[in-house]
Parts: sequence; C-alpha cells; structure tokens
Amino acid sequence: MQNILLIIGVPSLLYGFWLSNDFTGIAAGISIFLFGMLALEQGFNAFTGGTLERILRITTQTNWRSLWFGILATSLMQSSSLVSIITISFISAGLLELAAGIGIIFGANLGTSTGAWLIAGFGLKVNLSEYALPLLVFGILFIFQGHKKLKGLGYILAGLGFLFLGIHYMKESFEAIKETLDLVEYAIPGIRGLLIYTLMGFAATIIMQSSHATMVLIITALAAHQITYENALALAIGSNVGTTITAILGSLGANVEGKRLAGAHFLFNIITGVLALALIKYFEACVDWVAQILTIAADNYTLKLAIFHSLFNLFGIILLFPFIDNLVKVLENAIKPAKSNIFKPKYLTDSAAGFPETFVESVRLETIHLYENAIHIVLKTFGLHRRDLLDNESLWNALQKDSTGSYYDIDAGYEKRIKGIFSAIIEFISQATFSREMEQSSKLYWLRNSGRHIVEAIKDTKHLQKNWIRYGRSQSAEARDEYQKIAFQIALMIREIEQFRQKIAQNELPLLSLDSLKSKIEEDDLQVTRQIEKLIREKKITPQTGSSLINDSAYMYSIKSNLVKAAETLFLHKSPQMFRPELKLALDDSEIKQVIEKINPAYEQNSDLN
Amino acid sequence: MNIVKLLIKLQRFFRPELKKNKAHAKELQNILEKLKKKQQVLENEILLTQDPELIKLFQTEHEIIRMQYKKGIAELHEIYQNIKNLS
Repeated sequence: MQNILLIIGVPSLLYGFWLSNDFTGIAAGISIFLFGMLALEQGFNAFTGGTLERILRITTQTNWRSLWFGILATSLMQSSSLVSIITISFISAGLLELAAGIGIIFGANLGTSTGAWLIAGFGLKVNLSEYALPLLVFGILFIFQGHKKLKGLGYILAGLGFLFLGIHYMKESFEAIKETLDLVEYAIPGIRGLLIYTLMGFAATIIMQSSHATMVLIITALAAHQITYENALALAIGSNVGTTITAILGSLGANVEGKRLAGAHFLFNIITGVLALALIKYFEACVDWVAQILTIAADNYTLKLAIFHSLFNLFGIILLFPFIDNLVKVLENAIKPAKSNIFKPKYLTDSAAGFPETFVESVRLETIHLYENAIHIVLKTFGLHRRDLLDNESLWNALQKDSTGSYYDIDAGYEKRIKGIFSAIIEFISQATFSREMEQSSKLYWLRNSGRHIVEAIKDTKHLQKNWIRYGRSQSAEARDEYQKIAFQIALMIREIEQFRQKIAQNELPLLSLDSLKSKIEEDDLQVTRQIEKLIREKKITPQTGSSLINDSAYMYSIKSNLVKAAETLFLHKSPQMFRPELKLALDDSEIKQVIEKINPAYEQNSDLN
Repeated sequence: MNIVKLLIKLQRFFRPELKKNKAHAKELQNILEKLKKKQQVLENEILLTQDPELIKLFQTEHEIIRMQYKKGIAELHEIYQNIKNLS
C-alpha cells in the first residue's frame, strides 16, 4: 500500500512543484507541520518513563475519569495518535481495562478538536513564524543537552516551532495561490459535494496519517477562501473517520485487547461521521446558535468549523458513552482471541514494547507464563496434574497411583514449553531501549533472574527424575516411600506458592510471609536428612540408596528454593515500591537457618554433617 | 506568619531526605505494629493448641516474626538517628 502511494505520490508531487510555486509552499507547509508532530511525539515520549504511566493509572479508574484523561492529554499533547498508541500499549500489557481505554479514545476525539480551536482562534490571527523561530532555537539548544527530560523538552519546543512554521507556510501559500487560482470554482454543492469532500478528507488523513494536519490544511484553505464552508465541514468529517486508520495500523502489533480498542475507535468515528453527515443541516444550525452565544461573527467560518468539529464529536460521546460496557461486550464477541498456543510467547507484542512500564509488565506476564509451563513439567514428572494439588489426601493418592514411576520426557517438555518462551523473553529484554538507570531496568534484571530460577528448577527436576523412576520400580518399600515423600513435598510447595499468589491482596505483609515458605524448605530438608540417616542406621535402606536419597533431597531443596525465588519476583515485584519497607525486614538465608537451629536444636550438628 | 515556622518549612523543602526518612519511619512503625499483632495471635494459638506438630509450626512462625521485628527495630533506630542528624 505504502509502495503504491509512493509510486503515485512522487511523480504527482514533482508535477505539482513544476506547475506552481504556491503548491510547493503548501506541500512544504504540510511536511514541516508533520515533522513538527513527529518531534512533538518524540518529546512527549521522553516523559513516558513513569510520569505519564502513573497519571494514566490514577486517572483511568472509572470511565468518566478515562474520558477526561483522553480530553486533557490530547489537548495538551495535540496528538490523538500518541494518546491512542499509549492506550493500546497499556491495554496490550494488561495495565488498562478495555472500557477505560474506550473512554480515553472517546475523550481523545474531543480533545483533538482543541487543535482546530487553537489554529482558527489564534494561529490565523498572529504571525506564527515570529514565534516559530525562537522556539526552534531553544528547542535545538535543549535537544543537544545530555539530560533525557531536557532533551524531551527540546523536542517539544522544536516540534511546536515546526508546527507553527508549517501553519505559516500553508497560510501564506494559500493566500498567494488565491491570486492565480480560485479553488472555490471547483466547489461541489449538495449531497454529492458532501460525499466527495468527505472521501477527500478521509483520503488526505490516511495519506498524512494525521487528522490534525488535515484539519490545519482545511482551516488554512478555508481562511484563504479556497474551499467553501459546506465542503470544509465534509472534509472535517472525512478526516475524523480517516484518523481511525492510524489506530488500526497501530493495533496490528497489539494483542486482542489492542485490536478491540482500535475496533471501538473505528466504530465511534464511523457512527459519529455517518450521523454528522445525515444530520448536517441540524449541525449547521446548532453551530450558528453556539457561534451566536460565543459572539463569533457569522462569517468567521474557521471558528465555526472548530465549533462543528467539537459538536459532532461531543454528540458522539453523549450518544455512545453510556453504552461503553455494551460496546465492550460487542467487541469481545466480534474480535475473539486467536487460539492460545501455550508453547509460544503470549505477551511480548510490539505494541507492549512501546513504553517502559508496558514493556516490563509484558515481560512479567510472559515470565509468569513460563512459570506456569514449568510447573506443568515438574508435576508431570511425578505423574501429577494441577487438580491433584487440591488437598493433601488426593495429592498423596495420586502419587501412590503413580508409584511405578511413569516416564515423562522432560527434554521434550523443555524444548516445547520452556526454551522458545525463555529465548523470546531474553531477546525481548535485549531490545529494551530505555535508559539503564531507570527503575524499569532493575525490574527487568530481576525478571530475567526469575526466568533463570525457573529453568534451574526444571534442570533439577530432570536430575531427580532418574532416581525417581529407578526407585519407583524398586523392591525397597522404604526407598520408594522416601521418593514419594520428596515428590509430595515439591508438590506441596507448588500448592503453597499458588495459595500465596491467590491471597496476596488480602495478605498484610506478603513479602515477609514468604520467609515462612523459605523456612519450611529448610525444615523439610532437615527432616528428610534425619529420616535418611535413621533408615540407614536401622538398615532399612542400603548406604548406596541413602546417598542417592541425600543427593536427590538436595535437588528437592533446589527446586523448591528456585520456585519460591521466581514467585517472589513474579508476584510481588509488580509494584516493588509497595514492598520496599518490608524488604529491609525480610530474613536472609543465614537468618532463616538460625530460626531452624533454634526450633530444632540438633540442626547445627546436621548442617555440619552435610 | 510566624518566621520560625516559615524557616522550618523552607528548611524541610530544601531537605527532601528528612521528609523521606520520616515517611520511611512511619511505614516501618506500621509494619512493626502488624508484626506485633501477628506475634500475639501466634502466642495465643500456641497456648490453645494440643497438636505438637502444629505447636512447632507456630513456634517457627513466631520465631521468624520475632527476628523480623528485631531487624525492624534496628532499622527504625538507624532512621531516627538519620533524622536527628539531618534536623
């Protein structure tokens, strides 16, 4: 599509440049304006390392708040595309509900009309180039600074400078073209004109990928009397619908939630556009009435166009906002998730990679996916399923049933369920472009470590599997029993981690309560070692069997420790600042050993033996 | 407005460390209170329980909380010392 546009566009532009200097001026004005928007977006991106995300989280708890966020953020950043892309990223990473995202998009549609107000009310009345030049100078000065935020500010200033310069060029060129060519002669009245100009506005926005740029072009052309007011209204409607294409393109790299949001954007703009076209006469009357109230002159068509743009978007919001929850249901039914493949990464989407916070959250969710797959492998190795974890009795019965030691191919399981996802996580993390000093970098470090703990747990399970099968078929009931206890304890720890995960919200001190799990690992290790020694002493197992059991109890210890460490990062580090005070009080390994020593006085002696 | 109060406010404004330390102390106090409550609950459970295995489990939990509490007190002392030095 882009190639076709390029093939048609380049010769057409060259022909236009040859034909008219004023056309060159208009095209250059649009290009400078679009470049300004790119710079502006880059500038605001510098502030998305936490601040914007925090505001987004706080301000999107209800649909109303989301609507206001959309209006204010778009008015401030003058880019509904940036707001849409941020929203899609947050939805893709699961940090935002679809309903809240829809609220933001509705608000962004209204917020984008502030641009029309600014240009029509201010941009056309003053010589913007006078403001553009100092802005560019200060912008470039700040861009050369090392500090990220100053650089961002530089891009914003330079962006505004280019926007003003672009508007100035468009305005001047439309004024000049008036003397040689009167485009109003090509105005098309009636319904035919309405439809043709709507399509033209739609096409122009798709080509420029910015409804803002199209609106500026319409307003400057209207101010220079190069298009009629009626045709300008149609162009504005077309541009409003055309902007959804940017959102649809942006959602291609998003997951199903992002696609649903783009669907909501498309539906909102299509419905509003169709209604605006159908009720255009009523809207025109309404615009006249509002203009009268605001004491805007009857022939001030640029400001009346801004009123029209705000009115029909507001109309759409009033009409659709009460039905956001219904819209969510419709979209959930219409856009179904692709059949989930547990062997492939689910959350590492291009869209989630857009911002530091969504980047980290998608890595966290993917590592949880990895953890779930690892748990499946560990349980399968001992012939267990998740359903067996319900209570101690069913768990023990399931282990007894599998006492012959059925074989599960861990290598195949690792290749299928772990390797691909873990490699994708590592690759994804390596692509992180945000600064190393940022809080998100340390989160990524911990998440990568968490992945490593998960892989270690599987490797230990593989080591343990050899004797689990061997002694599962052994004649020695004691040896068989001890291996079943090892498997039982691992499964029990998986269950306790699961219970801990489910009750985090109710847990007053979640991080500190993990110390109990850690102490349990130590205690179990001690009990197993004592039991093995007792069995050897009573000659119920051979010393060879005993040494195998001691080695394998070390693997059990390692599996459990690795799973707890992984869980600590995955389930608690979602918001580490919440647990920072607890972190200082958490016990380290030696302190946990001290506790066990105190409760089991013979522990020290055993530790020395080990 | 009282000049002394204004000066204190200005001083605080230019010393975010002080504010941070005070907030941290408050958070820690809150955690310590929760730990104390948990400790009391466990002490009651130990007195009421007959099952030796369960008693041992509660004792372990109690000992963990005791050590966490001890660490918390040491940390709190350090923060108070910092606050004293800063103000």
